[in-house]
Amino acid sequence: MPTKRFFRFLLLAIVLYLFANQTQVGWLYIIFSLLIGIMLMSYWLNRKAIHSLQVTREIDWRDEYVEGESLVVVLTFVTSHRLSGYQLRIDELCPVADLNGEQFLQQWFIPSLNQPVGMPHAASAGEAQHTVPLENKIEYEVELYKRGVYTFPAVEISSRFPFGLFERNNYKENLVPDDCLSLLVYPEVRPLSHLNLLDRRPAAEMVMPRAGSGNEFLSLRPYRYGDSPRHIHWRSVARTGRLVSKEFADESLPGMALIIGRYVVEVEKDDDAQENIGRSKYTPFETAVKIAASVGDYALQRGHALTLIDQNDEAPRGAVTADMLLQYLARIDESTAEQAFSDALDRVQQTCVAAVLPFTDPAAIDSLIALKQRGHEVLVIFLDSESFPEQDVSGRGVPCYAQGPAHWTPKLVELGVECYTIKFGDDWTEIISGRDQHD
Amino acid sequence: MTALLAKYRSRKNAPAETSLELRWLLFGGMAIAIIGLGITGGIFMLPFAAVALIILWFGHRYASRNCRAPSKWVKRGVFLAINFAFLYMMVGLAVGLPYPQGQMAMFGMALISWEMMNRGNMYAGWLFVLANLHVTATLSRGFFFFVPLLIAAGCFLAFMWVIEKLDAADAGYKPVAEPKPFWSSFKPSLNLATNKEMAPIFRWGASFGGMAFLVGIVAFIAIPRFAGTPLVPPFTLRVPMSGGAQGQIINPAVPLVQVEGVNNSEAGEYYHGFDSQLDLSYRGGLSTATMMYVRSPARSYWRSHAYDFYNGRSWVQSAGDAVTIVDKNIAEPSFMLTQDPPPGEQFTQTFYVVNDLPNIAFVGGSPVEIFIPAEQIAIDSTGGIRLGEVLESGMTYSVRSVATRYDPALLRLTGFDYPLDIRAKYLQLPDTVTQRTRDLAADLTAGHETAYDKAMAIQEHLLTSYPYDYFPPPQKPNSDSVDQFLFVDQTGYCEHYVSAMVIMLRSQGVPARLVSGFGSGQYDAINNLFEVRALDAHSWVEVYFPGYGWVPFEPTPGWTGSPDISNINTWILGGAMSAIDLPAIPFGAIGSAVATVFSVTLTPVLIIGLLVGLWFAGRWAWQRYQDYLATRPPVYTKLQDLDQQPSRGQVLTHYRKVQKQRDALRDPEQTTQEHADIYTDFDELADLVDIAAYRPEPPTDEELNKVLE
Repeated sequence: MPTKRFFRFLLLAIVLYLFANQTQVGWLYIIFSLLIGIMLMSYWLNRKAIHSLQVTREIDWRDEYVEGESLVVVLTFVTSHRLSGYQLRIDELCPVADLNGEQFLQQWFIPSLNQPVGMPHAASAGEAQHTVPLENKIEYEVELYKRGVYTFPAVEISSRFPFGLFERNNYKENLVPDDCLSLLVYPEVRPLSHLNLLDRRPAAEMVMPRAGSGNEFLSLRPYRYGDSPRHIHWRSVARTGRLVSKEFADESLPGMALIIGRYVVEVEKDDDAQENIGRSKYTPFETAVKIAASVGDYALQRGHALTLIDQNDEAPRGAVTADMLLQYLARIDESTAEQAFSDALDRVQQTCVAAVLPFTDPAAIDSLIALKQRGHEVLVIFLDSESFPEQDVSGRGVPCYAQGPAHWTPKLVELGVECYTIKFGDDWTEIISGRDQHD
Repeated sequence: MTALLAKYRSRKNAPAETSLELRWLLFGGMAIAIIGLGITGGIFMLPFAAVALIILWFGHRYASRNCRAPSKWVKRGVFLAINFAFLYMMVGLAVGLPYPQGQMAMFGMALISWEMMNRGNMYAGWLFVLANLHVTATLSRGFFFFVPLLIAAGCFLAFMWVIEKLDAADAGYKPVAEPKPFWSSFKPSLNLATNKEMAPIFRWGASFGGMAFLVGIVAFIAIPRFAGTPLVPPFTLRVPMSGGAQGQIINPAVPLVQVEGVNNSEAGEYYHGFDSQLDLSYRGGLSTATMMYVRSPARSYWRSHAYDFYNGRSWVQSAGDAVTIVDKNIAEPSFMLTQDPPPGEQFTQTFYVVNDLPNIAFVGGSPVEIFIPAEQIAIDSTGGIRLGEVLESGMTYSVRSVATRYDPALLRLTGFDYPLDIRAKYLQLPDTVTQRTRDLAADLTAGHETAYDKAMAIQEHLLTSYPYDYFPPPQKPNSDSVDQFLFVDQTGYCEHYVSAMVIMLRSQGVPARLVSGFGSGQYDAINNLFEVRALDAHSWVEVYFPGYGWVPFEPTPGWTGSPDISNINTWILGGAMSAIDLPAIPFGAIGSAVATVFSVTLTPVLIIGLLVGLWFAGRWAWQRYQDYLATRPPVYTKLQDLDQQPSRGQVLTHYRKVQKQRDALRDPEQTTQEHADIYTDFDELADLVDIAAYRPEPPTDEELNKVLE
């Protein structure tokens, strides 16, 4: 592709030709001819500039990559062509880096690849010549900015060798091993010292019959806000003149269900878009993911069975391991929910439910209250989205609700729901690990 | 216009160029251009070149150290110095100094080096290098120019290489290694296994240099050349000749004491044919001194004038100093020699006078127009062009001519019906012409019915029967020169052969005359020049044919040239190919066609290109203006315009009123926001005031009501 400089060069040559024609000065024809020669040869050399150039991207391979850790990437440029590998402009897009940081797009200039010990073409039969090709390595260390699934795009190489008259672009990629092409970065897990939801529960409750959300009738009790109208015992109402609800035996499974609130946004998911690229980690949802990871990890460490509830049914079924938890949380997208949060809660069967909500959807909160009414132990962690510098940088938008956590928290606490509100900058491990607010 | 101005300002305020690599390379290119010009210009130019080099060195030194904060006084000084150099050039041209334009080019470039502050300046610096090389190329007469050209080209390419590195850095590309200046890589060893720093340069540089050179040679051979009338007529800055045209021929090399038969001139290269009389008793050869260079796309004899009257020992012009004066047309840069040029291809020759020559303009072919710095010229009776002053060394003039060619078959068809004036003048024979001369002519032409065949028969006899000799025996007293040549000496030089042919033709009733001038000279394909030396001074025969005019003949043996005009070369190998019988591959015709198409289409293409360019430039300027309008800061609404937008006035009035009511007047130095910082209940009102004062759209009713309520 000719550059602007080429056209200036061409214009100069044409002017010289005009001068030569007008003055009939032979040397001007020679200068013009030399310019033509330079342009043609520049084109030819430029075509060779990245010919047979191979690029290898190597990453320090580990079992797991966790947000905040550093990653070492090595790019190796190799060519065996003697006219290749000059004035290389390297554009390396590092998706695991901060979008707004310097390392997201890194650019290097390689004047020429290092001189080989011997050239391949120089080797003749019977001669033990070195055939080390021209090679250059670029190594850089980058912080894994945010959890997610990342695919390294191809390294872009261009060259305007030799004099900037032509530009040649090419995309070369050869990752070793191949599965390094995609990188799964786990969210950050912070250790919790305590979690009321799990730690305050007496062991006896795990075996004694108690009220819950089962089908077997257990007893009658006065109506409480949030009880289903279908559970009202109308004969007692007629007899006593007060609302009385039926109570059922708790048939829930032991363990904890963990659910993160995902926004329901009426947009099509862009499957081709680079996942997680370009998003800030300082959004309510990203903090929610970290909190969920920490809460889940705590439950698993305490030996509780952990079940994940997802609005899209994307979570693994049944009890999950730590790896499964982190893999799920690494991939979860904030605004692609197909099902309402309240609907997803219908699938909860576990005794304890931990819900991390980056929003204050009244319907979702009503569902959580209902869950509590049915006898589940419920932990609700709100993210105060107003306090966060960024709400959502995906460009898809998030719904807004009139009432924030400050409105709902007292109500939930009043109904016996364990509830925390996390603001941006809070040490949420301390807040969540705090002792029971009712104690 | 605003956008253009902004662009100009941005360039003017371009970042200072601190790269020493670039500066050294530019200095190298400029220095070699000055040195090349100095050497090409000769001994007189060398001191100027030395001074220019010193100025150049200090200029770059100053620019390198002060590129971030150049002195205005230096800038003014450079401006004055360049103007002074230009003035010097004009004076030099007036007084006839050698190559004042070359000196101007050198000093201009040296002075401009003081202004090489940013990269844009440096690019412009290379244009100055090119301009100097152009001047050197124009003055160059040999192959030496290859040396400065290749070195300057090398510096330029290295400059471009470094620029590429710097451009990458400017675009945000980090170097993988600590950048080092290119000279740190230089090692004398050519062993690439050990000289790793230089290996890459050799590796591609050899390929590039060699191939670029070869491609350049092919391009040089293949590109078409222009041979017709130049778009910009040849001109010279030289002050026009002061004297009016005169009929007398002034030969600057004419010896003070003319000893018959010997050329003893010490004043210069004196050819006795460039005079009003040609004495056939002269003897001796001429030197190899270069008299002039002729840049011409066709080989030709360079004719000066002719002689019509023979007195037995010499030739003279019977009309003497009688000439026709031709004044320069004010509207034209040239003298038209004929309003009715003969049919045929036209070609332009440019003559560079190296040694002083007589006040005769030498021309090739049939001249149509002459571009020469004179107010008047004179045409003698034989078509010779005489000037007011002698042709001094360094003088340049151009001639547009028709390449007249004659078909022998057509010439044979012409009869002997000559005009009376031609008969009267060109059939003249003196009494000294011997009977045996007439008899020989009759014998040679016996059986030849046409004038052309008679001329060819005599020419053939002279070419084959008489050996050439610069030093024939001395002319005997009271003898006829032609008779002595033909029957006594039987050897001689060109004037003797020509005289013999003219006299014999006249004796057979065919009008003929002796013409003097220069042979075409040695052709230099690289320089595209004919080098005409003193020994190329020559004479030949012109025979008159009714309907065709004067046709040249060459009776002198051993002379390699031909009075016929060669094919007009419209590419470098045109001449060579014309000598090879390749009828199936009409290279010359293709070249001519390309050149013709080029010459015919260039003017309309230029006009169309100019119009299209103007249209694009206008569109571009309009777009930039629209962009500016779209992004320009909001215009203040004048108070008198508030009536048109009442909400603005309403807000401002309310603002003043509230200030008074609350005794919270704003100081004139305070902005509304600073005032609101002190009186916090003014927050919303201050925002609205800013909207009313500065936003292009006036406050909406909603905004207004919110605050006013």
